[in-house]
Amino acid sequence: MNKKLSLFFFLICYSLFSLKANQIRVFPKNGINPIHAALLIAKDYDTLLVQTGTYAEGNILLEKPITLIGINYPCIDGKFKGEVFTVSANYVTIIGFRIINSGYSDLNDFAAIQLMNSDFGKFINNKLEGNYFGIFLHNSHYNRIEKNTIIGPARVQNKVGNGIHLWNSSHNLILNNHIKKHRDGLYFEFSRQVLIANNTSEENLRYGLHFMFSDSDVYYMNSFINNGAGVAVMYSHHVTMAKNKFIHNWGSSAYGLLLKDIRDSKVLNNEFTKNTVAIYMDGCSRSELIKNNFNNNGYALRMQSNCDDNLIRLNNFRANTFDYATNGFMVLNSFNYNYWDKYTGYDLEKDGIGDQGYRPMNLLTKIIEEYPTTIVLLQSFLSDLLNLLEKVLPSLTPENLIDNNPMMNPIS
Amino acid sequence: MIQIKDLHKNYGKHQVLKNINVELERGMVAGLIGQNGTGKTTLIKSILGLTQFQKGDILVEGVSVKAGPEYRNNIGYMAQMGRYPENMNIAQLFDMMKKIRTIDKRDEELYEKFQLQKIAHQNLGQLSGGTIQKVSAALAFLFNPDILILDEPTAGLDPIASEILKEKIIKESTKKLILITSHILNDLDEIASHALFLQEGSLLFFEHIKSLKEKSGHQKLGKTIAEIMLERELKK
Amino acid sequence: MMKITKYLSLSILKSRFMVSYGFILFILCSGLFFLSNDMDKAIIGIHNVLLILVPLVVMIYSVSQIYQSNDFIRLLLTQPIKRKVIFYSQYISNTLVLLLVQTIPIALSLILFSDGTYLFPIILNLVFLTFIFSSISSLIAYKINEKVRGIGITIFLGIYFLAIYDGLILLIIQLMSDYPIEKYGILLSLFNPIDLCRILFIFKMDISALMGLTGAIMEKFIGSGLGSLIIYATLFLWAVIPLVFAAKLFNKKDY
Repeated sequence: MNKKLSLFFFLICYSLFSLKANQIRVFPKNGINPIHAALLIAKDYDTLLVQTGTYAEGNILLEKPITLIGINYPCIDGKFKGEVFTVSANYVTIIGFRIINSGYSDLNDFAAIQLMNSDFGKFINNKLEGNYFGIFLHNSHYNRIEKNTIIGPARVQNKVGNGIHLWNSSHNLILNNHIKKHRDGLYFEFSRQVLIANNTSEENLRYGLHFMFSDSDVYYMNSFINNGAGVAVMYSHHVTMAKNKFIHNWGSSAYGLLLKDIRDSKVLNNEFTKNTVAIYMDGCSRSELIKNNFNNNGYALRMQSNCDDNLIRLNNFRANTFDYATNGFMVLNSFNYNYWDKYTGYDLEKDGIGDQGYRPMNLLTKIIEEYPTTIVLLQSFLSDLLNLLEKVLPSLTPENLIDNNPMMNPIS
Repeated sequence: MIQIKDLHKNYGKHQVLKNINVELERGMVAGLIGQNGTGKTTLIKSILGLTQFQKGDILVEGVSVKAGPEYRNNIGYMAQMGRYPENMNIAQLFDMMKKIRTIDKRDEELYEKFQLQKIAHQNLGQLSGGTIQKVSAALAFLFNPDILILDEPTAGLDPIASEILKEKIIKESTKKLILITSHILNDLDEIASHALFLQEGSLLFFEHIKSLKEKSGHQKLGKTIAEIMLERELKK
Repeated sequence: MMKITKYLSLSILKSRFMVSYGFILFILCSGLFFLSNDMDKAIIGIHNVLLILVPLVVMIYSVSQIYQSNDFIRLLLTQPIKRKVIFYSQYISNTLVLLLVQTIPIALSLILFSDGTYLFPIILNLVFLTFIFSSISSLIAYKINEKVRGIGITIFLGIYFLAIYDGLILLIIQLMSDYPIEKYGILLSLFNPIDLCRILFIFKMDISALMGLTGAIMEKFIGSGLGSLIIYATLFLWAVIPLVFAAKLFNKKDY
């Protein structure tokens, strides 16, 4: 019995030892191309411990399962030529590097880390600066991209790529990254079942997050701040967006969240503050907007009349210039139990729900929709007068555009 | 001192003053008499430059009133029921006037006799009509001007104040030219030396009161005037 | 001129109306900071109060002030003072006192309860509106001799600038909606000082992003040197032209 146990123990230790055995230390002074040299001698599943220092070795190709660990953020400098890391194998891990200055080209999407058909990788704790693209996933699945800081180069928009770019790459985890000053902070196309959580995407030239044809993705607790055009989510279904923050996406063509041709999706518990348009919905159906906070936006909700069967429930609308705008008379969406700070009705039954309905679209908004130039009357005494008139005698705004159960107090 | 030459004034089509020619000299106390609406106040205002006239001219000590405001340095004016900024007090009003007209030889006799210093810190808006008249009178005399123009000076004054003012007028009359309008002919009787009679915008006569009285044989100015008017009616 | 202006200003400043007006403005503006949960919204609110209250109060107060001081003007006219001096003393004292009484409470509430970013643009609009509507008041008061009629016209003009003119803009835009009239939005507002001040402020507040194509065109116009020159020159003319006409009327007026 005892012998058997000790043998078992020995076997476990041996297997652990053999797995961990091949660690290769890489120093900046080990020859001309120390990382390339180490990669040549490394076997599958070996670990390269890259010591602190600067390495400028041109493109580094990772063609076998391997782990690269940077000690004290060694700097891999692309010197503005080509790609820095190109990964084409499964099970590649890159941790703790500072990767800078990938090349720029009109023809190739050079990135700091490019994944080509590689699955099950981990890319953690890297600092990417001044690269054309940050991390580019191409047909790569089940990867984990975590805790990276990705800051784009200071160039004009068409010479700046995306922070994290997924093309046809599903089942990936994008967690805790911080992306700044790229074209699109996060970009997804044909990438399903991706979890995007806890990332911060700010000051990007175009979208903080931009995705298309990516169904069943989940966005959770991300912050999108001060991006040129906010966030655009398009041509997808079964998307869940929860507890994200959309802050200060301000500009004449900026949206907090642009939803185009989205169906069966959920927008829950998000915070929209100081966006030109908090949510712009075009051709969306069967989606739910629940428990979101809209504060200080130009327009809180702008819903084109081609949206149908959407539910708008339990949201708080506070201090928005316009709460709601739509371009037609057809209203096929339902509003209920929202809190509107502009609601002035009473609650005799004391059940917390106002006794009269609230019409979220005021007359000025309606007029502006029809005659855009009348926006010159914004904040004029006349516009207050018109809105008051419409409140007393509703006649011009769509009849069924009404929240029949407006809450008396904000929903917590 | 004041020469009025061929003065015409109309408000639109309404002719207020017609062809007035008159010469007033120092030492005169000229009573301006006439029914309501005959242009007494308009004549005074024309002299003061308050209203503009269409034809003719008014010369004050040889200078046309159109030439500039300087001639008014020599004129003291008491308006018919003047009104002043409500939140200014008497002291401030006098202070301001003294600063506007920088004349050293001031005559504060009326200011003292009306005992205005006692109420110098009351706001002008709170004063009674009579007190306002006192203020106006004191202001008119304050700068010791050679010409005094008093529009209904005794109206609203109590008998004592009225007497003080009349005494003052008589006292100053030899040195100055004083032009007074008044409804109360008895008041004029006591102080005026000449009578200027206006009717429907025309000057009917301008004569020494004594000679007027002699002609008619009456002792009172009121009766004298009434008789003259009756005569005129009969002539027509 | 300084002397008369000084005495007149002090006299107006002491009035109960001025003191209470200033006080009410302060309460109103400070109250907006406490009522609205957002500073920007409070500032927009203050500016709206200013756009509505200032023209009406300045006009009604100035017109009745001029009527009320008729006798005093008459007294001054009998003094050796030029008419021009009296006219401008009256205008300046009236305007300066109104300006003071409005600027102090509004500036104070902005300094106390906000970071002061919008202090300058708000006060600038306040200065423009006060001078402009004081000028317009002078014109009305010296043109119309009957007080009741004058005040009636003043109230009508106030409402005209506040609402009726904007209603006309609405109508014009509606009628012309088939044509590309975005460019002329700003042109229409040149003829109403309240609209002009409002639009200037909207662009200071960066709300222009909401305004679509019209906003973009207007922002380009206001942002350009020539555009802002035109706007400020127009505001200046709104103050000067009525004043010049009022001065002419005053010069020929019979008292």
